[in-house]
Amino acid sequence: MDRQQDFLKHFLKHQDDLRAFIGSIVRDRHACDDILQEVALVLWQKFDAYDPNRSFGGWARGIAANKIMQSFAKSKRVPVPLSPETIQAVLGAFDEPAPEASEEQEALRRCLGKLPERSRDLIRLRYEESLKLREMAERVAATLDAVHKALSRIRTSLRACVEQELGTG
Amino acid sequence: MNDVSRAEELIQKYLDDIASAEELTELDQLLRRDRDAARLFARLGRMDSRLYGYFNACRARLGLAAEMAKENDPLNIDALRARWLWGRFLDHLWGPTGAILLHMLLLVVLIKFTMMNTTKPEAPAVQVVMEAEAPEHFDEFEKELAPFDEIPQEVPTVTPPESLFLAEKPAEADVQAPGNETDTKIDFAALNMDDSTKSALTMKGLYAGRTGGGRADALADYGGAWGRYTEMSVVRALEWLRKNQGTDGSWGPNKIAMTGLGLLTFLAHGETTSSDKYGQTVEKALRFLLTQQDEKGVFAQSSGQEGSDPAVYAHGIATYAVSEAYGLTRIPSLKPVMERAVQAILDGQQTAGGWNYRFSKTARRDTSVSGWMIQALKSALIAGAENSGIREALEKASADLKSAQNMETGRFGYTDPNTGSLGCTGIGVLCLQLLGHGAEKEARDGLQALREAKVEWDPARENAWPLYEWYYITQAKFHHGGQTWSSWNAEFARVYVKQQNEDGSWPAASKWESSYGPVYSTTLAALTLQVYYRMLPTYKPQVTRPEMRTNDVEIRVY
Repeated sequence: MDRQQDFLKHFLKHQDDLRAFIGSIVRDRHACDDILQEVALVLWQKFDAYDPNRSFGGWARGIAANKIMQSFAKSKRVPVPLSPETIQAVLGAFDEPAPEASEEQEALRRCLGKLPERSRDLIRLRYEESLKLREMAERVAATLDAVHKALSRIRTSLRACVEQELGTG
Repeated sequence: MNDVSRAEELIQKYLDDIASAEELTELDQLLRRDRDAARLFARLGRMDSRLYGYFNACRARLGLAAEMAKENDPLNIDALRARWLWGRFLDHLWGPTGAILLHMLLLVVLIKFTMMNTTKPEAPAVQVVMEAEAPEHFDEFEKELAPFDEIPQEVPTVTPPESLFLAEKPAEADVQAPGNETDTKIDFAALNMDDSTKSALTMKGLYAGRTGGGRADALADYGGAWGRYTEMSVVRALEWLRKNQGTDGSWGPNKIAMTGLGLLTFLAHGETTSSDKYGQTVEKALRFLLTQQDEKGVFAQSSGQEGSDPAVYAHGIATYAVSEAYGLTRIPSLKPVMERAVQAILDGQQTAGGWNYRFSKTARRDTSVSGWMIQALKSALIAGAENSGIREALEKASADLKSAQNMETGRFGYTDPNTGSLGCTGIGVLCLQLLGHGAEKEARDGLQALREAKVEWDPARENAWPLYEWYYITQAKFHHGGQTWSSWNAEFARVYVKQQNEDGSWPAASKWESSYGPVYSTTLAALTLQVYYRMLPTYKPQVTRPEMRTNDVEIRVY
């Protein structure tokens, strides 16, 4: 019981970040969720071998990276656009200290609230309705390039806002 | 650092899933060799994931399961369900973490364990009762106008569209049966809506630009740098109009005129009675107008406004709106309504071809009044009105307009050549263009005079009807095209987009116009911003990129 509670405590704390790491490499949302599930299981199975002095997040991400490579090797259905060395580099970047997930989520919520409505609409189309860019372009009757540039600017703004909120800017 | 800014560019494309193969390779290499690039990738990747998670916190797995089931995913459905329950438990631990929940979770963990060890996973034996999910709500925060996302002051370069837009799929016929107020003899429910909206007829010719794909093409062709912003403005205006429509389907305060303008605004967007989002709005507006037509065919306010000067405008605008509605929807019962209204206009025309208040046949003719009559007649003609004499009436109207032009300045006058104004010049030029005389001297002189026109939003200014004027001037310049159009577009589009209120409406641009209320300014502004696709330009050669074309377009002015 204790062991399981312990695991859950660690896992839940890092779940979001783990999903972020996997999602940054595996762009297909469903595939990303699948892999996250599989990784969760492996982590649990291997929890006995986990060294508490080590960062749980780092350990979990390492396992996730392997899982990603495995999935890609098994079925090309999970496209992995980045090479193994690059994934290592990304791993390294994720290892660096980052704000607490819940804090970042809160900051993001506040920053989303500050967006003008039309920007929020675009964000919603992309992240809530999960539209592809071509579908978004259709929906708002704009060019794909225009939509992309708008989304890029909004993301940049949001990032700056979040960093400001967290005092890490 | 140059690498990092290039990395940012590539990462943004990557996040939108539009990076090409070459760009992916380049990104891959950049991330490998540049530490800062990798850091940036991690930061942006985290935010991307958080954004997704923000909207899909508790629904991700549900959606996953449902969608996979729908798409007949080769994965075993039972295995999916098992994973689904597992996932939902994990999610729910963010909420209340009672001991009971934990126990249940651990139970599932054990069960899941057993399942995964068998070769063929089965659905768990334990049926777990979940607590109702609290849907993710947006908290209402104070909205400061953020410094980000300002409309850029310098005009960005225009890049050609990259993707093939699909033409808008016609909506399913979704007309609700008429409500209680069936004074009107129109039975929308009985109509064969399906055929009409799928028929290419409705969106061909002059209105071909009003479909989703048509709008996109037109914005790409004629929108310049601002085409990317104007459409969102328009859509927000439509939303505002929809929300502020009266229960009787009208807008006010001058109900007939404003409802006519409102209807025109939706029609310009290609919305009809069977549109998914705005079908109800359009239908209610149409129904209202129909109740306002008297036995002589005139759209007249019954509340003592009869005989007062502005009433003739109401009739012109309403006829224009109803004619266009018939043209787009082909609802059979609209035809007699249109034709009766048209007849009133024809009967009201003066011998010299003009019109005046109250359809009076005095010496006074009025360019502003004529403007609406001509638009109405033209629209009815295209829609197939069978009144005899429409073409002749329009020809006479052309001659009448020309008679109001000042030979020296090129300006068209309000009542005669000496009362010239830019607004009336806009009316004169547009009408001549619509009537097939856009290439002639009078129109060209008028366009020359319109060079002085400026877009200045000044709510304190008196003695001016700027929104009204710009509605015409914008169209006149649009139909002419070239540099005339592009420099005007750069000016007006930017101001209009910037002036729009947060709620989607527009403020008045002058003191006098403010007395007409927000529907007036919003509909005129939105109609003006829809110039790109409202009508195909009658006098410029089609910008052809055959591989981009989404609609079969045949332009026939007559």
